[in-house]
Amino acid sequence: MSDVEDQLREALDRLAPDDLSTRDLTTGAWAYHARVRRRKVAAAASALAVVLVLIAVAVSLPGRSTNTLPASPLPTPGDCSAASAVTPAVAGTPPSQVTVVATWICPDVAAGADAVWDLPVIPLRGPYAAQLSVEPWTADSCESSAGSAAPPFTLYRMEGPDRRVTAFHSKDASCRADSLLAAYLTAQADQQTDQAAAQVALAQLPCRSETAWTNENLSAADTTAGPQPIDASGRTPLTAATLCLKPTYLHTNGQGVALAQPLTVRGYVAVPLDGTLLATLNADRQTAREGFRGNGECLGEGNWTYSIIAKTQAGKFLRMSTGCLDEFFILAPTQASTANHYGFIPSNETTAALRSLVLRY
Amino acid sequence: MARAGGPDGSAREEFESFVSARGPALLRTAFLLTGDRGKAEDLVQTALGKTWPKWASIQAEPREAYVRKVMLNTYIAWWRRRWNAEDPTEQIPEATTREHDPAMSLDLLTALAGLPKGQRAVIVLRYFEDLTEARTAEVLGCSVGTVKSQGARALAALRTSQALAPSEGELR
Repeated sequence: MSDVEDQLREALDRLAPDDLSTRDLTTGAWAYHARVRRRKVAAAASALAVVLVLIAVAVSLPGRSTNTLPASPLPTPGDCSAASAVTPAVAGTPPSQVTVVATWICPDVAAGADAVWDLPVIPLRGPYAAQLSVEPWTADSCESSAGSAAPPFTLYRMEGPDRRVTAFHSKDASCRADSLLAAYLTAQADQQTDQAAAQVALAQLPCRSETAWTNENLSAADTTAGPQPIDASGRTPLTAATLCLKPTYLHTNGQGVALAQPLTVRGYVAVPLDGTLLATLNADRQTAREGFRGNGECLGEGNWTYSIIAKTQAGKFLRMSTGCLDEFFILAPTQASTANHYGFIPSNETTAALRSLVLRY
Repeated sequence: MARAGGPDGSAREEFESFVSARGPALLRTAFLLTGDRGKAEDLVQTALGKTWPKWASIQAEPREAYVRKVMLNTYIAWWRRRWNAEDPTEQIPEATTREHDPAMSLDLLTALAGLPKGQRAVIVLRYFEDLTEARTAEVLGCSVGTVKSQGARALAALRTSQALAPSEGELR
């Protein structure tokens, strides 16, 4: 046994806390089981019109530039024909610790995909490409998967600094092809939303990804200062807000991961909140507290995850986010750590109003 | 609390006893997998929730092994799942309780967080759970060769951690 392995054993033993409470584990487990029984996988909805609109929007985006994008040359949809020129990724040896410049996908026609299958035509770039983990892991994680809903595709990845291109076939991902494509489409939605948001001022309350919001609005001090009380400005009434719907493709249910909606391109939807909803939300926010961990019921709701970008009377901006519309977590400069959530349970009135809004999309 | 659909009577008592006795160990493993107390609790609760309906049919002896396998599978299945707004930043989770050197612990936690999920699972099973390569492969449902290669890559990445850095005068 090497010294490093012994050191690692000791370090891991020190690292794992021994003061973790088991008080809520049993009730949490039963609550999970009860939720699973109630939950039904959302019916797949036809999104053809949305897809067409979003593809049109996506096609218009390459001309825009942000300072987060790498320099050219970048891949284009035409690179799908360059399959023979790439270095294949070997199953079981996921690339790691590489700088990812761009990622894009193409139909795997040889594996039976329809060549005209609608795919995102804009590559993921920079941080959006880097966050997409490609792991041909063979562990038995499929649970009750009844086969992949994703057509066969090839994911190409350009890695720096020499910009080598590797290819990964979705068939090597086993039942995870769905997860990989869902993650790709989600990253596409984030990239598209953040690029659009970069063109306007925050005062216009554009939707943006959680990562972009955190990078732009939370300082390092906010995230390392430790738990802090909610100051008065944290409860200042909201004067304007935008509800942002981010597509969710997969749900976790009792049997594993299930498809929530078709694996097609879908972007964020922005919905301005009216004065009535702002008023109830403001009243609800007075109950916000540190250490908020949600109501313990949420495994996701509908075809979206939800966030609200808002401006307060004190002129500050904050972001509330959630997977379910009956609880909200607040990201604001008072946010201190993941262990010290700042959030609240909205009133039934607020939740119902938000749900009625969401039903339109 | 709703418990519909699960075993009843003595099975509940056994379940509660099991959670009380083995919960801390499961949580420690889950913490090393997720790097966060809240997520660790979510992971263990979910694994227990998945196990609960089958509790009465699982023999007493392998129950913990069964829960651990479900926990690992759940962890890997969640590799791309959004943790809905509960993980807004990349900051280091709260400090652990048995600090040796807080900076080193946080450094190791950061290094672990940088590993792909599969590699991280191998590290936790091999060096925290002290499972053999064969047993690790069995739990993860992969080959021994994969465990070896994943483990070697993970160790190479973790060597940059202060917690595993050679002491003064020692060659790396």
